[in-house]
Amino acid sequence: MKMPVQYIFIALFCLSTSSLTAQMPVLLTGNRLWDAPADSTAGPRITISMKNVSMERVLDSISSLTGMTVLSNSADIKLNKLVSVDFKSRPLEEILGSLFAGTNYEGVMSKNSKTILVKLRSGKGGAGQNSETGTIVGQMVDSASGNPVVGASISIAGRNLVTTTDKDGRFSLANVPVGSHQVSVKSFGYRAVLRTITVSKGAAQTLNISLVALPTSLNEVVTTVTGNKRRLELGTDIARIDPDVIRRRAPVANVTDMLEAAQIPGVLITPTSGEPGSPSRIRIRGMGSIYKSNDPLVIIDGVWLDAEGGTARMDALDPEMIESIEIVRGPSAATEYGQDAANGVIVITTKKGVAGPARWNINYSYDNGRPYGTKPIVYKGWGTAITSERQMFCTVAHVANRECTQDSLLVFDPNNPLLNDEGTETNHRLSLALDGGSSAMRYSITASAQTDIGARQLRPIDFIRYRLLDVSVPGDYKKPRTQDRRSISANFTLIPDDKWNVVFGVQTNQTKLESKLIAMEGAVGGPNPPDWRLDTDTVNFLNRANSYSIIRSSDPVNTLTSLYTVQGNWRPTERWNVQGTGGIERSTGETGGLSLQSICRVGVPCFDSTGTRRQETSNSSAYTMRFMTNYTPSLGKLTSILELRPAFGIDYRKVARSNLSGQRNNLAPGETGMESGTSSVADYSSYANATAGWYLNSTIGLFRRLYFDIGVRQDIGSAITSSSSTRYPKLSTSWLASDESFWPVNNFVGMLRLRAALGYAAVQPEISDIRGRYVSDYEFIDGVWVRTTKPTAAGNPALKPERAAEFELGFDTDIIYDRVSVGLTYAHSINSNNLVLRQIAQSAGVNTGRGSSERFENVAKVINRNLELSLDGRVIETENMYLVLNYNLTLSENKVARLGDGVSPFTTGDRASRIEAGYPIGGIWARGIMGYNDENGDGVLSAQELIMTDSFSYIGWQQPRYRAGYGVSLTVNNQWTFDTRFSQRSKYVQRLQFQDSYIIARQDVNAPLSDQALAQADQFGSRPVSDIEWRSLSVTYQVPQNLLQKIRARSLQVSLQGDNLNLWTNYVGRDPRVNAGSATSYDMLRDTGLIMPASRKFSLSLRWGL
Amino acid sequence: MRKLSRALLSIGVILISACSLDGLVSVDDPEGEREIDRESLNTLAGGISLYHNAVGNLARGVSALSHDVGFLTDEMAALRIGEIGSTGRTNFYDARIKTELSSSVQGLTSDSYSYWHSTRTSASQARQIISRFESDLKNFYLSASYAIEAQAVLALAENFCSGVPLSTVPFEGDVEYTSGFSTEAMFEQAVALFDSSLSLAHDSIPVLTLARIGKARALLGLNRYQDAVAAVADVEQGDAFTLSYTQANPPSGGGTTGGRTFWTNQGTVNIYRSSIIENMEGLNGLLWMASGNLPQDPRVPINTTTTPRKQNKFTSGTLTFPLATWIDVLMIRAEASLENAGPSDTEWLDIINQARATRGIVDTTDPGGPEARVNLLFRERAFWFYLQGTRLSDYRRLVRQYNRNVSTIYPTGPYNKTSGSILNYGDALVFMPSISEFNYNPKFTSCININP
Repeated sequence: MKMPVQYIFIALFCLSTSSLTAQMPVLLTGNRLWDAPADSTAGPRITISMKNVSMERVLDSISSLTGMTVLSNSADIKLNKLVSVDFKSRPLEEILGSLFAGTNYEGVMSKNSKTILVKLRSGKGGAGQNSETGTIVGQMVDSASGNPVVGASISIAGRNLVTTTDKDGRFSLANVPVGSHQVSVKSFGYRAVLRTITVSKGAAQTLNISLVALPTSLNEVVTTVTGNKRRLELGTDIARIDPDVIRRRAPVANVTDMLEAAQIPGVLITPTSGEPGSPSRIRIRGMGSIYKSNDPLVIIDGVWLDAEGGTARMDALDPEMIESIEIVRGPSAATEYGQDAANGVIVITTKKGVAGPARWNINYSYDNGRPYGTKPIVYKGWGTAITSERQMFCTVAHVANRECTQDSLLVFDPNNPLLNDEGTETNHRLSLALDGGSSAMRYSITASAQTDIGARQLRPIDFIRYRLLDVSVPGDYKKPRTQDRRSISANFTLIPDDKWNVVFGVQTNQTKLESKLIAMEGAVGGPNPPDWRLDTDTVNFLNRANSYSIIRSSDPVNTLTSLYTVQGNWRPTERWNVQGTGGIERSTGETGGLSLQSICRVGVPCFDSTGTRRQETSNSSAYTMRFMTNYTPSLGKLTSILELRPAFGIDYRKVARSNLSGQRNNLAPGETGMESGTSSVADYSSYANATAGWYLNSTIGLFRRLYFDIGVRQDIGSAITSSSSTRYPKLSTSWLASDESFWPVNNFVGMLRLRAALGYAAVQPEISDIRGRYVSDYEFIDGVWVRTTKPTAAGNPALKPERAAEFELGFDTDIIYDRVSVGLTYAHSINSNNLVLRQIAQSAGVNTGRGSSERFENVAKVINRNLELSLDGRVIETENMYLVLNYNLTLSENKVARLGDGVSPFTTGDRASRIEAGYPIGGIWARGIMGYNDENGDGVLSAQELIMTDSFSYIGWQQPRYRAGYGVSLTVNNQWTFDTRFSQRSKYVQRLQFQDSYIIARQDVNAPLSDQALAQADQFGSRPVSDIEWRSLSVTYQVPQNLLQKIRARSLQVSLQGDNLNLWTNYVGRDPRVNAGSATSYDMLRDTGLIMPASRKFSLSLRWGL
Repeated sequence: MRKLSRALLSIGVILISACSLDGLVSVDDPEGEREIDRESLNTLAGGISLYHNAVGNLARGVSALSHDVGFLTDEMAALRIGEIGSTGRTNFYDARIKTELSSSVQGLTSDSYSYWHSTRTSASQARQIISRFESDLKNFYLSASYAIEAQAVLALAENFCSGVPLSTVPFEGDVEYTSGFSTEAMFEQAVALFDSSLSLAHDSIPVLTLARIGKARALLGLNRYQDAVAAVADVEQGDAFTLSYTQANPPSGGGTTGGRTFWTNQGTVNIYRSSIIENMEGLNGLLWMASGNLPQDPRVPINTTTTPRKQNKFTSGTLTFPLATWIDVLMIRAEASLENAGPSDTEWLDIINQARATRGIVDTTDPGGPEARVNLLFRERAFWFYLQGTRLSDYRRLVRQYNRNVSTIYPTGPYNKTSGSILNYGDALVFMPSISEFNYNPKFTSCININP
């Protein structure tokens, strides 16, 4: 708090010095901080007082005051004449008339009041007066994305010749005197470039430059609910992703791919499987909730997606339609989005189009890949039952219980080509985009199609087996997992005049995910287990005397997701802005499972048996309505030192879901419809929640280098009880220390920005968590069944939302001749009132039947700590070559600080995952092995011969505590881009279910007792893991301008990319992120195996602009 | 000025919108095929459906209790190792191991403990709803819900320790935990609830019978014998309150909890239904079987074809359970008569024989001496109410009201029916509240006492 007080004191001192205003014109650089609104005919009224300064200096000050660009149309215009001006709130036209009085020049305002053109007076000479001139033409593009840089300023040093680039990044600078000139190129957010160019008489020289984004783009504008703000004004670190940059790094099929390729510190992406349509888990700065969802909110064009499955539906969005993605972490999520924003927010903005002639963009990608890595060998004991002498699976446990005698150990090697269920994954993506428009209307339309055929395949051995049984395998069962996606997205922007505009948007995505399976269930009426003794070298596994049950199942999931948005922006005055957003996100999912059984035997025709038909329809609608207004007050003489931008807004959102499902069992042979079948199950459910809130927020800027962002938000909601405190305050500060006068001019630390923020957000309980749940049922009373109502879950009327407070501290700096940019953030969040299921004593009588009832209580506390570092180094930076190295690091810590009085530690999901105070959510635990003793000397360990501790011991965390990303990017001649990325994870524990020795020790009676003990204790798989992944390698070629002209293309970019190229681990196995979890054993008979990791794939993509 | 007006107007509109947001965020409860929202529950039909839930829980409580009491007393002897070993259950009850603070043992009695409280709460919530609506059946349902709630409190008083919490949950309120009620306080609360039931005018004989006999049982527990007789004065022969059990599936739409089978929740049902019955279980047990195991008393049928013998009274999950009958009235009157009987008074014996005559059992004779008479009376009760969940209450009253020594009432001595870790019967005399009470009820720490 020391700094603001100091500045306020300085501001008051400045106010008391009347002459100060005239001495500090350089401070008056705001583009909207005018004394009075603009006059359409005479220009804005301004106050300016300067003595004995050049005309050029006066025009600079006017430019700073008004935000207007000053241009001259002739090199002969000299503005070095010394003048004095003293105007108080006078129209600009009057000031310009006075300024140029007595000269050969005149200053003319453009019709849109954005430009002042200084030109020779008519009759006093004009363009072309000096015939010894030439022209410079060219294009400015972004070095990372290849996109045109619009509005870049190109000027000739020492002369008042200046122009700006158009929507295609092109410019033309005429009347440049013959000779050698230094051309300066500047654009907001890009590194300035100085080039020497020689102009010949009457000739046009070409100057094409790839501008390099400034390492730390504090001028970069980010989206907030209170309007767009420069990053400099925010005390929080909001990550911004440019999809065009990411596409040059790696193949991108959806938003999650972009997030993963962007390697954003604090953001953890964990795939659930490499198969098509498998969602990934996204965690932003850890997990704050023990029971509730830790998924971030997803907002597209201001419209909230339904939080349930929001991140999955986000991936249905056509990535070609995305203009930018912002990751809002920590405190800034609070006042911005309030309720339910505790897990961070993903803000997606779609393309709105650029005014001008129609532009076509055609993008095509083809991916080809397959999973890699050695799959673990599986063993299975086989033997004879002691009592019946029948053959049976005979494991160590069976032998220890004296149930069987083991005679052999079956070896199942899924790496055997005959047993390989992993083939080639292919993916085609085609999109057509059209944009353009006029000053009154802009449009952007994208249509795309994508087909992904998963790597899963029917095993060769199954083909042989089904052929022996004379079972026909339909073609689409050979590659059983596919996904098709069709998308149409369109945005139309209407701009009737400068004061208002409206954007209408619609995004429609249809996804069809198909999973087919043909499987042998086992011998009908045969022994259990089925009589296959699989020898991988011979195909001798069918007992020809037995009949086998063959199941064909199909599980298509059709999802239609639509997003309709309307965004309006009204500016009644230059200082007042009103924004409104409305939108609906609808999602319809239809599942129609069909499973048919036939009975087959070698040499005998198959016959159809029974089947099952399943139908499910899920609907979800999320409604959003928001209004915001902000106002930039006139502060008179304070303008030079103080900025204020208060904002007020309200928003409302509602989610409604419904589900209808039915199943018909025992379908007659040949029947497939829901009408047939002898038994059925049907269910439906509906759900709704609604939240409304208001917020007040203001940005306060001092001296344009110290900013405060202060706000408070309050929410009410259907699942928020009146006793809950739902006010979420926020405070952040950002200080550009290197702009202070005391900051020494040096090349080691060129820029330093310090920032800090504190904010609150929340996670809501469900309505039923508060009200409880009842179901209808029957009771047998007086000899008849009567309707009754039973409680199934107890509510808690006093329940409050989980409340997350997050503190963030960090800095951004450019050092060593601006060659290295460093950003460091420490985030500390405390999620209090955490919801924990707690038993209700049975005397309350709300038990669900005979057991105890549980309900949520706000008793736990979870702490997350994150240290996030990003480092960018421009190792080589020449005219023709840029070499940039990136490094980012995330150190994470998660701890359940308090579980609640009387709440015992408990396990979740995976039996080894345990919640206990003092340890992280999802920690891996196990009981310790104190010893073992083969008392009966039979060579195998029974459960009784293993001595375990009573208590559980903490082994480690499932989430990597250390994550790092490495990137190297090389650009040559602005045409070639080479990029490669690595990621590293360590300090985490995974349950590697398929460690060979683990499997053996459970199955092989000859395994060492020490291994049997570990297997018996179920601890073999839990071990510390670390890995390095070669994420991507990309080569992109940008076809040069001269070639483009020949093929009449606007742009053409060709990329050859590799993704998920290799994985180095400290264990033998595959991707640990999918290797752990629910899959605990191969089903050797059926063709369902391990969870499939992401494929190593290669991609060829073309991006063609017309 | 015009700009200021516009700004203020806009802010005003926004503020007005903000003020009316409360209505916007109101949504319906989740619904489903079986899910019921709170609004539709807050109707007369909703209240009645909650009452039905109370009746269902009462039936489940009776089912669980009759089983539990059977094992803790001499009604059912141990199931020998090997017979239920594979079910994972061990014979804690019949070993009389104290159930306090042992979660594995708690799990056994928590069933009936849970059902009694669920009965109380459902009946109470049903009453809160039904009382809001006018209906011809209003008094019946209010009376019946009082009686059923009282019956649950009576069961807790008769069988569980002194100091059971009787927490409450209003229909539209939060859990209100209580500390433990003494045995006497529970009996008195049961009497008060039965009185409330009886005060409401209606003509349902079963409900009146339950309330009258239940009140009398509670008064017996309070040592108020003559009041108990007065309570059942209006019960006539043939009056009864019964509970129905079935093994049939509920109609379509009924959940897994819909079926209500007698002893359905006690593990391997058929094994328990054919539980071993032994003479002189734990030294003090009754001679359920005559010499040579034949002939038998018809009130305690025994399967004579098996060795060891197994009870043959409840062999099916489908039955009609007599919770309050004319026999209860006769036994109450006999006990009250005996309490005042002189050496030559025979009224109490006449009543006992009047009861025996209803089953064609020959008259019994006066054994002489006060203690022997009491023994006879309680033997009669044991045979009449075999496996009906009254035996533990009788044990406790023998100790508490007739000054018998525990060692002469409860099974005792060597216990050799488990694998060897337990050598003698334990000292459990009552059932304990479930472990959830110790862990989650902030007002409960332990029973007031665990004596009979």
